[in-house]
Amino acid sequence: MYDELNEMEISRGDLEGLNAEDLVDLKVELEDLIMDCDEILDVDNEEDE
Amino acid sequence: MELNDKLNQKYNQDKKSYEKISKLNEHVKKANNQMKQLTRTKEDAERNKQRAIEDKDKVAEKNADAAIKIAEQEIEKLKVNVSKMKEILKKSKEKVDSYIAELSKDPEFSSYINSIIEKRYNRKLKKYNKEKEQVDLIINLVKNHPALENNLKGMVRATERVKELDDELKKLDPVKDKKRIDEINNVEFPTAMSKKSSNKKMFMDFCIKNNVGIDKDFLDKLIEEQGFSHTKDGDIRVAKTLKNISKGYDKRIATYEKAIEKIPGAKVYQENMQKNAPTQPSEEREFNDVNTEDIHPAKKFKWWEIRKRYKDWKEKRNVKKIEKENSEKIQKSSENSEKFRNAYKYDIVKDYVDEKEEKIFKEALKDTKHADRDEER
Repeated sequence: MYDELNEMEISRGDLEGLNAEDLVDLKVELEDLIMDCDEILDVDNEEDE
Repeated sequence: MELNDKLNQKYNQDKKSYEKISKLNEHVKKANNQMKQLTRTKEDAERNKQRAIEDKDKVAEKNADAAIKIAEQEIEKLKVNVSKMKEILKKSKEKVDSYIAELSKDPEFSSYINSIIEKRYNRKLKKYNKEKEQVDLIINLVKNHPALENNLKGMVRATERVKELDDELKKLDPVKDKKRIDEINNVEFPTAMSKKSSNKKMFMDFCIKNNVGIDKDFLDKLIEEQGFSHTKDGDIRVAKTLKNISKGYDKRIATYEKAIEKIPGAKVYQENMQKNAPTQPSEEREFNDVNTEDIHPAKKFKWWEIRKRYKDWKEKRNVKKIEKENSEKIQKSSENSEKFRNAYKYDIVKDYVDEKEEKIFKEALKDTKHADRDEER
């Protein structure tokens, strides 16, 4: 499943031609997904009662 | 190049990044669900181990130990994959950032893109503030009303049961296990669904009666998507899970606030600052403060959804354009016929008038001749 992820990396070519709004949307979306990953990785560090 | 070709080229260009980002999104969501399932499996195994120790059942304890080990290994494996995913996301983000930086050498563009980033970050802040507010309201409710905590637990248990039944159904043979399949479909599944909806109804009825601005859809999302952790006795840790969810929102909100600070000339919008004000309002005050927009938040579209809508709109526009062109052709042809008919009519009238004029002229000439003759006599 994760092998295909390498193909998902956004290249410079994918960006050329995008307008400013789309570029920012892409940036924000990527940042949000990185935060999602952090939350998944942080699962053991959640505070205990 | 025609405008249409330009638009198509632009659409295909956007499509590439759109496809990539939606696949990445899919993978992250899938990993998130897997992590919740594995955590749950580990918790179950730990609970089984505890029971085995209490029962002094060495075999069961050994089995539980093995199950815990497998779950832990799977969790580690998943973490490695999530780390790889994170690396890919970071590399992609670096490419986007570097491209933006390159374009930002133009001061006009730089100022424009900064204003867009400021807007988008504030939009995210607004979203997370609202969601955090909802979680905090639920924390308050379950803290002060044990019956509501039970309702929430009922919803979580029923949702977990539905998922368990779904998983079991996938493994069953349609012919050999027909009896069990029927039992699940006709009895167990409807029972779980009914428990979920009755608990949800009681929870929401209380909220409506007491004017607590809990959004029904958000409650569903919270129950469905957030994995609630369990104690070793199998009880659902409502307070702990909700607290962790709220903390997750705090982290995100803080990240966006910091990010906004780094943008030259940008600021956190007033509406987002108010939500973060460090006040400790009473339960009633908090409930009354939730406005209707919070209860029914407007649907936000992802940018690729906007692209899809744009494509649909473009297709509709093309169909309309063709229809309009056809209708114009018909109208034009009809106008030409009308002109021709009018011209034809004009010729007939002209001939008629000419004929009449000639006749009048001849009669007048005749009358003049008669008059001359009378005078000569």
